[in-house]
Amino acid sequence: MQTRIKELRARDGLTQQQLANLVKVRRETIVFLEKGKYNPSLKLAYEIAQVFSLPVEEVFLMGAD
Amino acid sequence: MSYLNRSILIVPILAACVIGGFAFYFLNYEPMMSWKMITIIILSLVMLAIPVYRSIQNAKDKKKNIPLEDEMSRVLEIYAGAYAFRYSMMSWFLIFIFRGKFPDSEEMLGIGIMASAAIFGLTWVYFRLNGIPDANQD
Repeated sequence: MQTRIKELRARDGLTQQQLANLVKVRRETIVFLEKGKYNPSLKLAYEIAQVFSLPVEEVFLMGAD
Repeated sequence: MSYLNRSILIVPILAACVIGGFAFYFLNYEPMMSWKMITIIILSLVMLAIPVYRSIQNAKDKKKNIPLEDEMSRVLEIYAGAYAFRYSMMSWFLIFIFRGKFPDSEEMLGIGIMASAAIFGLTWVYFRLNGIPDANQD
């Protein structure tokens, strides 16, 4: 699974640490998500999508790899 | 009990076990001091240093309001534990096959326990570097 987190962070001017603070996870989790090395829980995916004001399917791209 | 409180409790218990173990050894078997014993002492100190270092880091993170554990760190531990269990069983099977090579059963058990701990550490580092496998992949 691929994500658009990096692109959306750049759009909103957020650092990895700022995004991590907003969704209450460690920065390493955001690094892993951006690299596609970890599939988030539905709750975390939903929270990240909410930060970017987008639906989950526009942040996390299923079958894109 | 929170992660920080757990580590605050575990580190002094670990330190007490290691220091108590050394004290017991030196009081009873000090003349038997050998390279083997020195290796065990060094390994014990390393195993003590890791939780001490982690608890210092945790205290720093707590001050910065960074969560000490999150869903990924928990999943990482679960995966590392599951894989480590599988490989530990294999290592115990190998130890059982070569049981005749060990001078006594205490040494065999000690090596087995250390191997299990090392396998968990290695699997944790492996998943930390390579990512957690996708459970949905065919």
